[in-house]
Formats: sequence, structure tokens, C-alpha cells
Amino acid sequence: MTLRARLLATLVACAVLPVLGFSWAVSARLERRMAEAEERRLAASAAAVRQGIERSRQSLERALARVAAALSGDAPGAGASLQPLAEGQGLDVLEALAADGRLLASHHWPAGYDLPDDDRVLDAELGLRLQKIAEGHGFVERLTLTVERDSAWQGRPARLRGGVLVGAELLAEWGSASGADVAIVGAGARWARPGSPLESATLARAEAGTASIEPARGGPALRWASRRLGPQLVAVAGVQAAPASDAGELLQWSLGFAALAGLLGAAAALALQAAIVRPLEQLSQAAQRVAAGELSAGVPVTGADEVAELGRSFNEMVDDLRRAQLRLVQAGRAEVWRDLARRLAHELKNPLFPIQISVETLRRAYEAGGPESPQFRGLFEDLTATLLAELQSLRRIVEGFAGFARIPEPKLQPTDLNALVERVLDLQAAAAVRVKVERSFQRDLPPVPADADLLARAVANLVANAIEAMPQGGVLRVATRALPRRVEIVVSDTGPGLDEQQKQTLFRPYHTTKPGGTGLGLVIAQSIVSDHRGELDVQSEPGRGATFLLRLPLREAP
Amino acid sequence: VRVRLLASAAALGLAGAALGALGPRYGGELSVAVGAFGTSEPRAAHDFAERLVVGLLHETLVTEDATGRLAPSLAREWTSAADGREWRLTLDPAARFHDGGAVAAEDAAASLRRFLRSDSAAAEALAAALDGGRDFRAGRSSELAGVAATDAGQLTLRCVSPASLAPLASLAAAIVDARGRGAGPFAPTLEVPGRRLAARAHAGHVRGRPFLERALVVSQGRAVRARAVAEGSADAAQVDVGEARVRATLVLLLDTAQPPFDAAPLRAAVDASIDRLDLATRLVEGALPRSTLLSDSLPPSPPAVAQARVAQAVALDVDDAVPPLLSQRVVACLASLGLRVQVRSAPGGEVRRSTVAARLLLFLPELAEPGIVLREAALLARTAALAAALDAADALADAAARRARLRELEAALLAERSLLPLLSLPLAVAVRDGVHGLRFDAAGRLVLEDAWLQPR
Repeated sequence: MTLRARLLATLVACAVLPVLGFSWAVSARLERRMAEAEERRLAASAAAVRQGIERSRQSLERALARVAAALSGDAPGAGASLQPLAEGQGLDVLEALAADGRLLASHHWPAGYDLPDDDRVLDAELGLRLQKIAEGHGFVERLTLTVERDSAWQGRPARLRGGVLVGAELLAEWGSASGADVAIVGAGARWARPGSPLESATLARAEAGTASIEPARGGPALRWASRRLGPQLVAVAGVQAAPASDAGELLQWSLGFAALAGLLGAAAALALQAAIVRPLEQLSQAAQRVAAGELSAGVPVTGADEVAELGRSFNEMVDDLRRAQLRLVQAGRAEVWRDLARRLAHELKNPLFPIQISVETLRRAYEAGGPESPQFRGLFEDLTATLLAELQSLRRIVEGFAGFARIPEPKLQPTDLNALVERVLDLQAAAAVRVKVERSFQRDLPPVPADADLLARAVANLVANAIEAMPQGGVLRVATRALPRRVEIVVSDTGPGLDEQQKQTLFRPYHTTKPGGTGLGLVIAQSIVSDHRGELDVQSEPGRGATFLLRLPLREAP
Repeated sequence: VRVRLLASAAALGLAGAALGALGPRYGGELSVAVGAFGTSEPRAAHDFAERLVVGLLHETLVTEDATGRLAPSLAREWTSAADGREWRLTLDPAARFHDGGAVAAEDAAASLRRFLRSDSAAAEALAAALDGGRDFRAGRSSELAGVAATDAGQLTLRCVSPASLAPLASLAAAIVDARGRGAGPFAPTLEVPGRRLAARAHAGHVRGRPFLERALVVSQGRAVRARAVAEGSADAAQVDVGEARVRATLVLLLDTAQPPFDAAPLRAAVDASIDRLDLATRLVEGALPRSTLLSDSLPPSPPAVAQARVAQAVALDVDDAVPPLLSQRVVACLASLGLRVQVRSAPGGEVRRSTVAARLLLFLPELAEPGIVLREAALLARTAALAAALDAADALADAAARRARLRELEAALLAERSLLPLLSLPLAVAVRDGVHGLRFDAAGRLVLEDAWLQPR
């Protein structure tokens, strides 16, 4: 993770987490308090169902009294059928029963006349019964709230029973005081408003008069409380997670604040990074350029804080490095020239001595017998041949030195190294008749800033060196490849290889192991590579061939 | 102005009355709202709507007239030979299928082969008499020596015992051509099976082109039908209350092969718990108590007295044509015995095929012929043992002896109490003013071919 990302994450976390933690703690406490209050309210609602039933019973008793009056012999409506009476008084259930319990007539179950009244009584005190109600070709049993009174039916004494269906409307009325949903549970059944959460809830242990909260599928949790109505039935009041709403609202506000704090933290992180991270990034980029050899790299310094002090110190360090390198270069050049002069003198002395001996011998022969003497004539041919050979040697030494001295400054252009190496190999093909050449060029090699003529000369020296190392034949492998920020040309042979001493003297002028060699080929190659700010290295062991590695920087040095 | 208006109205009324008095008119469309019906293919249609639909599109070789006697239809005449064991039927050369093709004896023979393998009680009666009929009906043989097309216009039936042609009047024996086209008074133009049937008059009908140009039969619910004529959405409608010329029998079927009605005492208790006179007088206008199937049969044995309560669940399938108050009372009676009744309402055909323990349906026999009525009742009650006895009764040459034997068999069937006739119910049709000529045939089928519309 970058410093920028770490800084951003740290500041945002510092801004958001405390807000979230505080909000969670407050909302949890608030929710608990409100849940307790809601539970007390639900318990009161469940208890209020019984009062609602009592109120409904009182209303039913008044309605049934009016029906009884209508059916009594003195009233004008005597003998009327039950249907208009029931509808007139808003009764869903109205029936007349004989003294022996037979049904004399029924508004809600007309087909049940003359049959025993065998409807199931769930709570005799409250008048809650399962009544047969005509539906389709049969009947359904529905929970009803009923009241009874003595009356008459068609002139005979009868017991009247009237009531209403315990449906959504009545349950809503009984729960209206508290605003809770109300259900009645017991006798293996449940009566709740259709669509109410109480209709499908588990309501475990509701008969025990408990309170509970249970999750609802796809919606808020259901909170309920129950109170016993009688031996078989309990009333249940429930709401859908209302207590959590305020706490939830608080939590939502807190989330909003946390998001705002997060945004402020992010803004602070951006401002900080402008002051801290950007100078550090510039310092990091400059350090990378210095590592790549660009000793002119520096960083802009403003202000007087610790970061500015760091930049200032870095710039001073780069200046020191530049001066030290300059001194090294100058010292190195002097040493090189001294070594070159010493070796040049040594090389020049070698042919001079035979020349001196030959001239002295020829002179002595001339002085002893004259130009016509047989001795002089005999020596003249041999000694002049020696003189010419040594002079030729002197000339080669001088030309080689002149060539070394004439290496111009490279003119860098983007150069395709693969094409350059290919061209060199083509030119050297005639010399490599006994050598098998293997090429391995990386296809997408980026162009390199180089002087194509000079670099071709350096590569040609390496290739010629390798071919000459394999006079009896062998394998010449030439490859190119891209490295981080550099490219590399690899020239390897299967010749006799080099020991440690040979490797150390390999790049010294006039040091050669080959008869007739000038000892300047690899020196010139190294000089050219150095002028390109590259490196020339060798890897070799005796008997295992030699590999020359020529590396060039991808970017032109300033 | 008032006088002029009254005079105009009187003139229009007089003109309408005069138009009605002028007699039948060709043209117009008659729409009839009925209960559920299935497809219009020939079959033993057992309720009002199915009989109407099948009879509209198809025609039989013979029909029953108002007195129950056989009358010509696609067969113009017939003769018997070999002491009633051979019948030669001559087809009416004027009879045409709906595409105009002549009704040929080969078509009739092929149709009778299909009929003999149907679930019709009439087919069972005919198969018992025809040479090779039993094996053919049972699928044991593809040969049917008893039915042969002697030539293009003559069909011969050969029997192993003297037989009646009455089964040929069943709608299940209607004649169709090789592509299923009928020869009924109307040709179908649009059929949505079970919902809607539109048909146009068939000019090649054997009794001549009907007066109506088009007939439309639409399936509607009971409540919609009850007000369809009054609201003008139909010209005629099948209703519960109204002037009726056809009666169906409300029967309760108790399956003796499965609990709880495999116990004969419970069946007797059920029989005793339902007071037929009470049902007829208190619940349905025009209903009559009934405890037999054949009108002239002996009164049933006195009902047993219900004894014990049976606390068991029982499934009851109810024909949706049964008036709900009646079915509710039957359910109440069953519940009073302790039975927990699970009621399911379904079309009559479905209830006939249902395999639940109890069924309540309106029994409208395939044909009025007593032997076929009893066969159908035995099939409904699934009392296979009665079939052989009915075959033997049908083979009796003496009509009085046969009738007496059929009475005995009916008494035996009713004594088993697997089929309890309860009520005779009127099947009523409400008809708007200006519709004339609607009638029921002997089998209780509403016939439209003589109907006509008075111009409005």
C-alpha cells in the first residue's frame, strides 16, 4: 500500500470509527429502552382485548333485545323471518333454539333447522363460539362473539342467540386503543386480520401469556405480547418492530455523519499529501534518476520544515556525488594515459631493438669489406628484410594507436539494436565459415539512443574476437534482450575461455593473447560502450567459452 | 299529445301481437346461458347444458317422442325380422352432414362402433343384445358381426336376443362422418370448449333448416344466469326457479367399497336422517319428494332409524347444478350423524367420475327408457352385479314381464342404499318475451330447432 493510500485510510478511519462507535452504543441503548416500553404497551393492549370484547357484548345484547322485542307476540314484527331482523341489527349470526337444544331457525345456517345445536363453545363466559356459517354447498366454521336471551319464535318459547363474526373489523376495533394488531389464539387455531404479521408468525408459547420478538420473513421483526382470555383462548397484541424505528433513525443519522466525517478526512488527507507526500514522491523520483546515473537530478525546495530540509540535504548529496565523480574521471583519465604511454613505449621498444642490432651489424659489415664484399651482400638481404618487418610492426602500432585516439564523440539517435546486430553478423559471415551462428533476438526490443556506426564497430570487435577464439570451429551465440531500464547484447563463444588473470587484463591496451593482435580491439569496444554510458562485462571460465555482455541505458543521459 | 302517444303505443302493441300471430320466422340469433359444459362431441350427456350443446350439433338415427316412443330421425324407417333379433334401418336420403355430404350407412356403422365402446348405459344395453357386442365393447375383439352397412342407405343390426332400438336414441349414439362432423340442426362456427359455442343453421338437417339463423350457448355462473334474461344479456337461461317441463332427480351416492359407507347401518342412518318431504316443502320451490328412479315403481321400503353417531371425516363431491340450500341441508344431515364433511363443488360430469366416498348430483337419465335408466343408475352406484340381471330382463320378450322384472331390480338397487333418490327437481329455463318454439324432448333435452324469434 502506498504512503498516499495509508495516509488516506488512516485519516478516514480516524474520522469515521469514533462516530460509528458512539452512534451504535447510543442507538442500542435507546432501542432497548424503547423495546421495554413497547413490551409494556403491548401487554396492556392484549389485556385491553377483554375490555373490547365486553364492550362488543354490551352492544350485541342491546341489538338482541331489539330482535327479541320484534319477535315477541305483542310486537308488530312478530313472526318475521330472521334474515331481515339480523340484517337490520347488523348481526352476522342469529338463530332461535328450542328448549331441547334443537335449532328452530337460523339466519347464518338456514339448512341446520331441526338439528341439534352442536356448535363448539370456546369460551362460554365471553360467548366465543365456532358457528357453522353457510358457504357454497356446505358450511364453514367461523369464530363468533355471541350473546343469548330468552324470547319466542313463532309463538313458542325459544332461546335467541345473536352475534358477530370475529373478523378483521372486530379485531381492529379491539386493538384500536393501542394501535397494535390483535389476534386470538387457542384451541389449535388462530384468528387474525388477513395479511397481519400475527397471521403467519410463530407466536411460540403465546398461551403462556408471554412476550417475545421474532423475525418476520422479508420485513421488520414482530414484537408481541399475550394475555389469557379464558381457559382455552389468549389475546395477542403485536407490532412490527416499531420500537427500533427511532433508534434506527438515530443510527441512520449517525451513518450520515460518519460519511460526512469520512469525506472531511479524505479532504484532509489530500491536503496533507500535497504538503508531505508530493515532496517525498519528488525525492523518490530524483533518487531513482541519480541511481540511473543522472547526477544533475535535484528536487525543488520551498519552506523550512523537515521535508524541505530533507530535500536540501538530498540536493547537497547529489552535488557531492557529481564532484566526486568528476574527480574520479579526471584521475582515471590520467592513470589511463600513463598506462597507455607506458605500454606504448614498451611496444615501441620491441621493434626498435632489432632495428638497432640490424643497422649496427650492417654497418660493421660495410666497414669491414665495403659494399661489394660478400659478407656485406650476404647480410644486406637478411637485415633489410628484418628492418622492413620491424618497421611494418612499428607502423601497425602507430596506426592502432591513432585509431584508438580518433574515436569520436557518439552522436546518439534511436537505434534498432536487432537490425544493427544482424548487420554486423552479416558482415562477419565470411570470417565465420567454421562457426555455427545462433541468433536469439527479442522481438519487441525498444529503440536505444546510440551512435549506430560506433556501436556497430564495438559489436563487430566482440564478434570478431569470439570467432577468432574458435579457429577450429564452434558455436557463436548472439542475443538481444530488454532489462529494466537497459538493453543487453550478449555475444558468447565456445572457445577455450579465460582464466581470472586474463579477465583482469582483458581490457588493457596492447594486451593480447593472439599472434598479430594489437590488443586494442576490446579496449576500443569498451571505450565506445563507455561513451554510450553503458557497460561491457565478461563471464568466462577456462575451457567453457566466454560471454561478453554489452548493456546500454534505454534513456539518453542528459 | 298524450292521446297520440297512447294511440301510437297501442298501434305498436297491436302490430307486435299481429306479427307473433303470423307464425314462425326465419332468421335471428338466440343466445342461451347455461351452466358448465364440456366439448360438443357425441357422448352420454348427463346434464342440461351438455345435452343442449351435443344435441345442437348432432343427430341420432332415431329419437324418443314426447310419449317416449321411437320416432324417425336420420333413419327414415326400420323393419324387424327374426322375431326382433334383426333390424334393418333405412337412412333418410335427405340427411346431410354439416359439410353437405350425405349421411351414409358406413358413417352410421362407424359411429355405432364408437358408441358401443363409450361409457354410456345405452351402449351397454345395446352391446348386451348385439351379436359380438359384449366382446367388442370389452375390447376383446375388433370384430362386430352385429352391425353392418348393407348398402349406402341401409344399416343392419343383428342381435342374439330380441332387442329394442331405444339405445340408438342416446346422444352418445349420434352419427358423425370420418372427420367428426355432425348432422345436427346447427353447424358449429366457433367453439371454446366448456365456455362458448356459436353455431349457424344447417340447411341440410334431416328435419329441415331450423328457423333460427344462429344459436349461441354461453356458460355462466348461477347468479349471472338468474338475472341474464331480465338484464337482456341472454334470450334464455337455465335457472333454479321458473316454469319447468323437465325434472331431474337429486341423488346421494354412497360408495359401499370404502369407509365409512361400507357399513350398511351407516348408509341406513344417512337415508333416515334426510327427510325428503321436508326438503321438498321447505327448501326448493316445485320440488317433490322422491325415493325411486322409475316413476311407476313401487314405493321404497320404510327408512331405518338413525342410531349411532360416527365421528369420521368424509369427502362429499357436489354437482354444482344442485341448489346450494339443498346441498347444505344434506351436509347438515350428514354432520348431525357426527360426520365431518369436506365439501367440494364440481361440474356434474366430474362428480359422476369422482371416486370420493359420497356424491350428490342431479340425475338426468341418458334416455327415459326404464331399462337404460336402471343401467345408468347401476353404473353410477358402481354395482356391477346388476348388469347381468338387467341383460336378462332386456332379453324378455314380454313387455309386461320385463317391466315387472325391472321394478324388482330397482327395489334391489335401492335396498342397498348406495344410491339414494331424494327429490324430483324442476329444471327451469327462463325465456324472454318474443322467443317461441323452445321445447324439451322426451329425454329432457332443450331443443332449439323449432325455436323462432318474434321481430322486436
